[in-house]
Amino acid sequence: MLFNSLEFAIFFPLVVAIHFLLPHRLRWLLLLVASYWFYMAWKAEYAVLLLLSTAVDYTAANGIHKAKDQRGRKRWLWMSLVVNLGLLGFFKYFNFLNDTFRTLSGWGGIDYSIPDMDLLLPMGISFYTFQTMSYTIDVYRGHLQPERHLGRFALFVTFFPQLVAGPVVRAPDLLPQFIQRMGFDQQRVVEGLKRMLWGLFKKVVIADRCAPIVDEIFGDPAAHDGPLLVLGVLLFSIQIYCDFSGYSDIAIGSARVLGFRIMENFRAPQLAASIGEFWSRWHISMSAWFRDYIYIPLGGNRVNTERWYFNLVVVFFLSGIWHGAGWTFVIYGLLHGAYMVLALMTKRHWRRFNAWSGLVRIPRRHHAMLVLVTFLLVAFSRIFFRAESVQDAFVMLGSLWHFKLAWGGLPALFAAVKPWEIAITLVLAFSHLFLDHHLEAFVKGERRFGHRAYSYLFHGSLLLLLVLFGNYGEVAFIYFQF
Amino acid sequence: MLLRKGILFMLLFTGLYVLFFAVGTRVRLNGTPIIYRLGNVYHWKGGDAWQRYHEYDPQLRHDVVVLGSSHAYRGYDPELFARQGIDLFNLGSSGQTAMNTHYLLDDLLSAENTGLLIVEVSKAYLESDGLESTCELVQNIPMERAAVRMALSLRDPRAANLLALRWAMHGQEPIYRSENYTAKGYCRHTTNAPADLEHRHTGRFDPLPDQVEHLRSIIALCAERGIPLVLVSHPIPPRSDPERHRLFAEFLRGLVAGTEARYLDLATALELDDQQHFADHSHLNQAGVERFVPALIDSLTAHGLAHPMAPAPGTAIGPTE
Repeated sequence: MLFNSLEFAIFFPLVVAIHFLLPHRLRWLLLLVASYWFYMAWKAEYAVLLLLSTAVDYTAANGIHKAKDQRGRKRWLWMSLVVNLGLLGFFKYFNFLNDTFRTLSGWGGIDYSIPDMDLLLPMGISFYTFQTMSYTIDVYRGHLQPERHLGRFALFVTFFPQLVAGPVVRAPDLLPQFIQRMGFDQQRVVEGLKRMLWGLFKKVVIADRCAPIVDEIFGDPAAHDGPLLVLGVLLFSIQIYCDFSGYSDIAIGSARVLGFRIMENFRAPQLAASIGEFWSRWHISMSAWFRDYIYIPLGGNRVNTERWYFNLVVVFFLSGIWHGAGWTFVIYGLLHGAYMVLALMTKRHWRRFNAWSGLVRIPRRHHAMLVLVTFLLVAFSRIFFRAESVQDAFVMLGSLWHFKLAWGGLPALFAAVKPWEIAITLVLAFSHLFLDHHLEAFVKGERRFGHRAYSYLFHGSLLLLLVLFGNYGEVAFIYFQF
Repeated sequence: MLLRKGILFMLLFTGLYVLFFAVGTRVRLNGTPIIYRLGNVYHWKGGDAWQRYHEYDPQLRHDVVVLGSSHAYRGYDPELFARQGIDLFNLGSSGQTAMNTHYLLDDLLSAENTGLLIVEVSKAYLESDGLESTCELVQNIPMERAAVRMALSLRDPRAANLLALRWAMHGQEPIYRSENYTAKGYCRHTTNAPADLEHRHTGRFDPLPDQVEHLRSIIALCAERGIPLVLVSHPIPPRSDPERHRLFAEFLRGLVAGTEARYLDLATALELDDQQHFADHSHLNQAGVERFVPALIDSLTAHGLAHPMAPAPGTAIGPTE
């Protein structure tokens, strides 16, 4: 079920109403049933994977807790990791690895005839797999007591607001909230609804309006000239931010309406002044996951410099491949790894250059320059993220620099999207890019409107823009595919 | 408290919404209301759809009524039928799908005003969601119920926007008229398809379950109302995708089996030329129509379907009362 669908518009108020009518002891059951319903509306059969993941990690965590020695604890942990990563690997990476082996075999003149499998990637598998793995690892590390109540644990795995595209919530943050008693709190409900409205606005008005333009440009990069390709790359950056952070806003808002608090997943990533800072503002829950469960166990930065760089590259490689099974995602991840390593390697030189050039004397302008450079570097990396193949990405890279004003692809673009619709989309998308963090502060309640009437006007205008300028037709969220 | 705030908020929103449509439909840019610049769904009032549905009078009986996409209103020339003594009215519209046909049929046609219903069917008729046609029809048809049902079929806020635009434009004259429109719903096109026109071959036919359901409802509704129904596929260019059409025709034959509806597949029945008889990748031009219509009438006669429209000498065609 999509957040931007009629089904959800009926489903959610019903769940909220029943949730607050039920006695506290039965609420977990309602939310569990609702979460399965939510997931099965997409493809009922794949709920089996959720059940399996739940059963495996519930058993493993309790097994670890009861195990008498380290060997026994380790055995349970491995069982969980093998099953979770096995399922993820099979559904997400089988065809990619198979294709790679086929190509390599072809180069080596070896006959390799294992066919690809007709697999549909289970929606949100990367998210819930990582969430359940973090739970079992935390129990193994002794940071967490295992949850004895199977129903509540199943709800932790499947909690519908964040099931298919995060935030990847940690058990200590969410599980205790299922036990806590809560009543119907007007203010909390209004806060949640405002957050949902903001998320829907970002998704349906900004991201989904950018989508047809981006699809046209990335769909046939060879047909477009430099200026249009640049436009496509910039718009995709705005699209993916609004799409993904919009989903997170709806997830956080809907959980808030129900009385739960979910961690923030974005903090104005477009304002990051370095790639390192970008990753502390973008998809925060996943960045934290990679930090806690891969980067730090590898040694983090408490190792020699070469090993530190290696650790960074490994983490970004895995982050790239987490997004999708394809060489474009591998390059995307490695590119970010390279950005990080290069920034660290040249840090001293930049400091000297800034002092020599006088940039340190104009800190605000210097900061603005760094923000712009970071935004462009991230936008550049997203060519690989969005391109349909590595070949397409390189076609784009080749043409990106041709700033002749031939506008060769313009007729094709206008055939796909009308010029005035493009104009409206550009105005909405770029104004949003610059105003996002100001407006979001009001939505999150970090800033208050001077008068209640302004708040009404702001949210009324958001709703109006949503209804009038939204691109409807139930466009799926980009991160659902991961 | 929450309820009061909610009502206040919704009142404010409704006020802004009404204001938007009031301004958008009255303030004009180069002679057209600015609202038409704001999105694809805001279809201009006017054109052949407006002319067709305002010319049609359900109180008058027609031997044949045609429904369907642009293939219908560009392929079934009432003048050519009239030469054979058949009175035909064409109610096709751009991108019309089974859903649109279903609601139009439900509102407009009965055994009293329709001798035979021809529904022109092509792949897109069952594969597309009907948005294009819905946007056009909601702005242009005089029937309120059908317009509301079509708009609501979108199941999202576009439905409200389409209806708000329809009602805000109420009483305003159409913005434009089609130059190709002749009469009785028909649009004449005489241009030939370009020689270098590419035909995409996918070999696939993927009907939408909702549209198939609407087609079943059309068949059932015609049976219930006693309207003889024929589904017709008009000729396709020789270079177009034969496999795709084969799958489509097979599907339709399966669908009508055991019902009172008939399916006439004339897609490849005539020897036509891609350029001389077609205006583009799928529409017949006038030369093509002149080859197709006599063949269709022969085929209807051969299948015994010409009976309801056979004019008795001297019979006046007019109001049913």
